[in-house]
Amino acid sequence: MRKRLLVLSAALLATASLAACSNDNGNDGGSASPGSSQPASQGASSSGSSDEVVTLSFWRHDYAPEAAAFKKLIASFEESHPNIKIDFQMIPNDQYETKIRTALAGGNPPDIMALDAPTLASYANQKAIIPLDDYFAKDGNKDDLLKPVVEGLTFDGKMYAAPNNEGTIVMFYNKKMFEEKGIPLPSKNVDEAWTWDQVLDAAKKLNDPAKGVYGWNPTPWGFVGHEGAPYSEMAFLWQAGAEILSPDGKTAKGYLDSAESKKALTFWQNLFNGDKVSPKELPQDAFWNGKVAIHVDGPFAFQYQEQNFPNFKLGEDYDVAPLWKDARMIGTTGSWGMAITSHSEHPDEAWQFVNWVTGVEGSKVWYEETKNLPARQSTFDAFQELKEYPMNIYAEQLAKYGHPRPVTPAYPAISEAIRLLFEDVGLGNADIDDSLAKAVKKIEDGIATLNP
Amino acid sequence: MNRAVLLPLRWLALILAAVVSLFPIYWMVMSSFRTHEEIFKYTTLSKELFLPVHWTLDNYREIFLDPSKPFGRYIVNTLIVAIVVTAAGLVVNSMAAFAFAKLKFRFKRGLLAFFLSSLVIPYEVIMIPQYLLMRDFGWINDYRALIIPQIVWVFGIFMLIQFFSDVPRDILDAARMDGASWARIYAVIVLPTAVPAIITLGIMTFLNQWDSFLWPLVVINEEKKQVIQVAISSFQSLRGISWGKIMAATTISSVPILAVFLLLQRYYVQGITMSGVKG
Repeated sequence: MRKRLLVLSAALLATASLAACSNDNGNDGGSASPGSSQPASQGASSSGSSDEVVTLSFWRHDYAPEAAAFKKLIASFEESHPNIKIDFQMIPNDQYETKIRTALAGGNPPDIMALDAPTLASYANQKAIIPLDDYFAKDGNKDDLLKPVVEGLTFDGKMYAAPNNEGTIVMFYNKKMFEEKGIPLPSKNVDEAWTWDQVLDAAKKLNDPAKGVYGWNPTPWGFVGHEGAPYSEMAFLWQAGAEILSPDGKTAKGYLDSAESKKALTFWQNLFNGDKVSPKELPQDAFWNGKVAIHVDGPFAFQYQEQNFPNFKLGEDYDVAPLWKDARMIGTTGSWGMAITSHSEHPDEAWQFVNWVTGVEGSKVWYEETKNLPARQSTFDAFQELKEYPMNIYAEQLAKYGHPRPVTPAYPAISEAIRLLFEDVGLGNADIDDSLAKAVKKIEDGIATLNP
Repeated sequence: MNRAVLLPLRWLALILAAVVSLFPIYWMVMSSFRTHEEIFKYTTLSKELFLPVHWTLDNYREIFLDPSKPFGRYIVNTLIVAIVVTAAGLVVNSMAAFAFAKLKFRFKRGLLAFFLSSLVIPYEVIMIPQYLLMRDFGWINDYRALIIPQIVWVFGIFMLIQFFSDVPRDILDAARMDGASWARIYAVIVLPTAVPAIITLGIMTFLNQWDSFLWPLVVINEEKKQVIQVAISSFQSLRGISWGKIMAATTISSVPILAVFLLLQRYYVQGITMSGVKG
């Protein structure tokens, strides 16, 4: 409670003081855009002629396997760009937004910051980060990026971040449990995903409260306080045929509270309160410990399993299948990218680094190191394993059924509203109409604060 | 007769309370010697719940030997900050308390009320203004930002005022007559009477600093300079929590606290009871 209040107040203060700064930043931004239209000459001259060493600070949330990949890319970058040093700092994940927003409010942000795709619009709207279109046009190979990725990083017609990778989630299931109960295994063809009812049917058979086994865990980490929860919950809304916002992004009224949303939430409520196949409190590592039969997770799960549960094997103990579907087949997409802050005095050098990491070659190194779903077609083409099981399920689902989270400066409000909505209905067994009205109001308020 | 029944009952209740409060700590320490796979595997009452099946030191090895997260260094960083703040804080706060309790000067009551009223402001509210101030001083990413704003602690001043006001005014007047300066009176007469209070405040300051999380997180940008609690929280990532490392790190981080507390426990308890008697 206290923490939530804090993040909120930090965010509010950040918004307020950013708005205040944006006047003088506006001037900066004004002169920066013509400046950045000629990055080629500037970038070349600064890296060529001067011996001065530029140090760029770069902040990212802490995740060990990805940090290792960054360190490798930074080492190779510094070797080929002796005039640029990267000062890479990792911030504890839970506090990343607090830290970044405080630093932005204090006018003291890093040159380069990592961000999760949907938070981009709120930073862009406050002019905290700069558009990268000119850089992309010069040497960013934008055509190579997958379309939903570009869509997810574009705000107001401009692209504000370069993606490290893309992400989506698929269904995981405990193969041995399925075989024990004689349940036919789900198809590995993304066009033949199981429907909600098929999954629920299997979940009911697999559910075994006496042994502490739950049939179906529909969100990767349970009811957590971070983006992990709404990421998977939004898919239910879209699959039922609902939308969160109007196409122009101005309102949630008439969209989030549609009949389709109600259908999705009724189904959700039943999972936790009616059929009780889903755990209100998810035991730690439930799927890997055999406490959950059907699970949902991202491609990073394979690495996690190999490191922490080496005896629980893909193909023997578990397998993956496309995510479930209802009226529509949809998988939420979006992952982390890198943006350059408007405070940076060296945007050209910053872009050189961003492009080194996220460009055609960098993306290949990134994939090899992290096994995250690539954001570039060229990376997909370069690795045969992406065309094979299990990665092909992610790749094909992404290409055919990917759906980015809404790109709007009000996203922080949306993320929270959706998270609380599913908590109220799932955990609290609350009235669906009331909960929806509350969520719509939260989003409307969030949108209203943007246009005072 | 009654006693014979009551005593064992009382013991039983105490033992139960002790088990309830100590078991989580015991579980934490034991979990730090387990593999990640094992930590949440045993949740029912069994031998495995109490003792690891495969004892391992890997968690400790990993937190201390990871060059990108030098845990030993975080401990030293935190110790430096905590010790300096505690030492400086005791001097400054006790002098302030002495002045408020014993000296006569203009606006004393108003000033004290002003100080005490700051106790009701939640830290979260002043954090960003404080951050801006640190930025203007150029202290971001510097230990001065961790130490200097933390020295004055209004609660500490308030607590010591309670103790100091116990010292009879007559003794001070007598000392004045004999020609002692206020500084001498503070050091020779008042301070020695308040040793339990000073030690209590010292423990509390040290604990606060050892546990501080939010402020270091915000003002320290360089990982090498970070403090222990922020380092521990970095074992939680978006995609999973390294419980083994967290258990090992929290086990280590509770050692100094236990050490300080056990060493000075006698005074601590005394300090609390005395502050309770004196309304």
